[in-house]
Amino acid sequence: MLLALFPLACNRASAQPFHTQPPRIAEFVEAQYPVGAEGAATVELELTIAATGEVTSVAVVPGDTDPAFNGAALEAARRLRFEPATRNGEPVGARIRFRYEFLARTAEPAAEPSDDTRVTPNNETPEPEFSATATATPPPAHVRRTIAGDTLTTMPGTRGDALRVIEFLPGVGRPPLGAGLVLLRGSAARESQAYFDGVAVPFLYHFGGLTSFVHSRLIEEIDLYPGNYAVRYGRRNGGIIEVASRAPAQDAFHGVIDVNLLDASLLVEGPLTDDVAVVAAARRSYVDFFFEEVVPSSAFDVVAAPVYYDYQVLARYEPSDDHELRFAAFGSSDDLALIFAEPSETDPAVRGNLEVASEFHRFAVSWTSRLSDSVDQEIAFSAGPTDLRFGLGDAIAFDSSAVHIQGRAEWTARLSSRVRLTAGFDVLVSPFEATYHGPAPRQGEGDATARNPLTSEPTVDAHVSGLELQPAVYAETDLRVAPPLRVVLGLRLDHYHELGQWSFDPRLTAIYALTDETHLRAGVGMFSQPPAVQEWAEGLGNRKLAIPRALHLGVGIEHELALGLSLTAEVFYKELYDRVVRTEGGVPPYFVNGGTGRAYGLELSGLLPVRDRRFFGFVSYTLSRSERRDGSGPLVPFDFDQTHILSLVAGYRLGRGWEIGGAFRLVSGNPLTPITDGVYDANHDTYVPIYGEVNSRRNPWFHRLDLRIEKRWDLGDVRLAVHLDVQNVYNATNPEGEIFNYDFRRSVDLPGLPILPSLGVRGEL
Amino acid sequence: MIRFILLFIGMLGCVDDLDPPSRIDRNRVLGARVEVVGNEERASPLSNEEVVVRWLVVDPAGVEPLAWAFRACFAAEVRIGAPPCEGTPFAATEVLAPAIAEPRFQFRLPVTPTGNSIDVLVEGVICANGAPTLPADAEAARCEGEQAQGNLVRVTFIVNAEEGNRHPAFAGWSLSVGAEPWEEATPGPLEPCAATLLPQVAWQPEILISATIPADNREPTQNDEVESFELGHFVTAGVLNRPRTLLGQTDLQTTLTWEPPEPVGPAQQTQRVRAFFVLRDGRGGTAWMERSLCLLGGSGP
Repeated sequence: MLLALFPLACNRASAQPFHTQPPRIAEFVEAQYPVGAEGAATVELELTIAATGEVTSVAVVPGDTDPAFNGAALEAARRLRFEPATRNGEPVGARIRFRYEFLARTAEPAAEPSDDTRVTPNNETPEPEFSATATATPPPAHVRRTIAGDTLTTMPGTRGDALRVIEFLPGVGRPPLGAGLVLLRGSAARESQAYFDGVAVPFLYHFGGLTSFVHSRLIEEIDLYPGNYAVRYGRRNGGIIEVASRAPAQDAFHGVIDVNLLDASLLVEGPLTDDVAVVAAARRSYVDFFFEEVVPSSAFDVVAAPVYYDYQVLARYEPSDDHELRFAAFGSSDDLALIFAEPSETDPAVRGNLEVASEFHRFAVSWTSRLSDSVDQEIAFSAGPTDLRFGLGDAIAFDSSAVHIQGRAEWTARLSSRVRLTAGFDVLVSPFEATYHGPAPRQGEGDATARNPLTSEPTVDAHVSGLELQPAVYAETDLRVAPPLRVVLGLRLDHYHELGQWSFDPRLTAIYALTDETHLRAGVGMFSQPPAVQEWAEGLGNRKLAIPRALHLGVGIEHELALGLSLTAEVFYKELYDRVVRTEGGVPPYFVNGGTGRAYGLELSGLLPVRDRRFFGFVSYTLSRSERRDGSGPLVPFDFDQTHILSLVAGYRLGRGWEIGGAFRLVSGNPLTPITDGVYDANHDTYVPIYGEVNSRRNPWFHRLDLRIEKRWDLGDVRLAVHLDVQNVYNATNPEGEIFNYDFRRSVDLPGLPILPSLGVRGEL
Repeated sequence: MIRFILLFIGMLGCVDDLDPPSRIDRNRVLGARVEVVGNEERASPLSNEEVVVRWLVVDPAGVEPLAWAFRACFAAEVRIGAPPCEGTPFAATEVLAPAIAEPRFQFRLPVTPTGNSIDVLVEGVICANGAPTLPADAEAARCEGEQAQGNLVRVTFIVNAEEGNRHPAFAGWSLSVGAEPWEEATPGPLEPCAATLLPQVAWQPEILISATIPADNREPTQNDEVESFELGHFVTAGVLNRPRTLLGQTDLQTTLTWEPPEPVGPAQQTQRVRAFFVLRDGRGGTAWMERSLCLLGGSGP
């Protein structure tokens, strides 16, 4: 039997601005010819090699090989040792293709035993020759902050929730009371969009912030575009969050069970065939089992205790090197129903039932392919329902159903080593229907009257149905003008059919490599976002609204230091035009494009990634201002304007499976609109608040320390881990607002979240 | 979303430091009643009629000198917030010198096209121990005076309403406190109440107050139904388990739990406690009544 290694190239990206060396074999392990097998076979593997040179992941590239040979190759490959790839002299992880060749056995006549016969094993195997090319992709054209790897699930204070890690990044505001609002560079949450494998997600968190909709161990990485994002995305004036799933394991079946104080989840994955691997995850909360014990019966009768669940099923099929098909089905559901034992003392309309239910499901398929050596294609399609229901006694009833259909086709052509052209088409189609009874809709931000008692508010009734049809075309050219200078020019044209409006958004980014480690980036671009349905629907809004727009400007610098440490600094400015604001008194046409705004600031960050080191750390600081002006009114702070945002994260691997970490946050308090007095409304026996200047006061500073400790045990094929995550270790009060007297003459602080320990147990196979 | 978090927290009883609305611990307005002059039981005035708007003002210390300023105008049609005046007010009044009197505002409604219902807004300020100032922006109204306490107020009513309405009445209602009948007391000075004819109620941690409503007390409405009530209830000492009770069409009885103030003096210490009940029919009709009792063995607010 003879085994040989063959060089395989992994050469998909274009020019390499860094000095990169591929991994080199340090310790070769021969694969054993499987017992009972016959003939020759070639097994091609994809190896992930850590910066330490260890093989951390092995997967068989689908082919026609007998599974016995695959298994033998896998078993041997796991024990290979490499000298790791390097970038600028520093070890880095790399992914390579590696091939084992099994030669056919030839039968030899058995030697006649004799006293003189000796069997001499043939130890001469050819010196393994191996070479591979590891490529480092160039820095992204647009501002992108990526979280990947262990950071996603081990960040202190997040209870292992990957999406929560976003809040530690520069330019990301802190939402109050742990709400699931993503506030990017002074934008409202509604102005940013999250995607899961390219599919827009309507609700990121269960019950508005409890836990994210997706199993954290399904996530490969999260890319955050805080602004000035590529033309591939649109329909948002803020930023983009792209959550990317990882490939299902192809070597064997694996499973993870995770149990904590709120919910339990199960994840299983493995190969179905040589070409197909699947991962499935499901989670369900069990707060409903003890909710009635916690909530006093004097306040509520529980009809349906809060329960949430979510599921994800992802499959990947790679029929060849040039094609990859992905299938995904995922969904999320929240449900809660209570009955108030007594009406609210301060707002008698708050009585009867409280019902909150939200649900969405998506089915998605995407096909990426290499049409030729220079042309790539991506086609994606997704569809699924989104239902939302909210009821509060007789005061509010809202019921909406929609189907979201999303499609994209994109082609990328490398015209030369210096020019790459991307063109694409994406469309959002969403038939919807909704009924609403309750107070008239408010504008999305800066409206203090949202605190008026429901009792005193006039009500509106509306039944709306329609079709959101939003096609878009885009093109982007990535041009290396000269070796250190790269220019990306993008154009995007959106049509908002339901409003009969077009939006043309040009965007330009330039990246200049000062050195191999230091890059300057500058960008400018136009963005647009359609008004919310309630702002233009018949009976509720104004169908003649123009499309709100934003201009983004940014200049930044990135620098890579030794040991993988990276530093970034970015200055940004954003101008908002044609913001939708309500009319005085909410009279027809109800909403107008009478608002403007701006946001500007400085973002600094330093990252020492986890990799295979004992210590890792992260620091980010944002200095910013976000302001709005409604009509001819004064410029006032945005509802979540936070002048200073400081995050410090550090972790240390103690060894023997122990890991500790801490995170500290110091954030300016959110603005408040003061209430100075109340007017007695004799019709309803309530008080209507008298407001001071919008957002003219602030909550005190927010500060919080989170700690995490985890212990892992490797028990052969099983790994067990227990973690304790404590949010707000020193139980800082962190007021998040005010709760007022019935007559608005006195108030007390609305306390923030108290100390919150979370214990979790995880078992992995 | 923040509004509902605040309400949820409040409903859970997580905030005990705020004043309970059922306790009268300052000069307060508890209701307003719009009467047609010459037909005081009618709550639905018509165009060109003379109306009087009366205000129920209470004070834990008893009766305080009051001054006031009001104006009446047509209410603007708005969908958000309290409706402001539309156009120039058509009536105004001010009483600048405080006096022991019930705040009243009498005026004649403008002529409006017959059959067109229209909302009228009365807004103003009522001052205890002070003089009122009512600028164009009613929310900026103030009371001048060192000891002044002010209440900004507003009420709206429909002129030429499609359906006529009469004020509800407490006629036939029976109240009990601590299982004893609770009748209307003869008004008198705040003497040591043990010597009065007020119900003498011994202190307990919780005392029940019950109200029984006669079956024929409700006015019929359109759709061949009868009206529902909202009963507001307030005390000058202690706290009730809720500030209001919704009485559906068939509700003929309700019970409140009153937590009297903790006794801080000798057992023979007494305290006169006043209770006010304000009845609303949800269609502009209002009525109110007062009861008093003598709490034995309790003192302090």
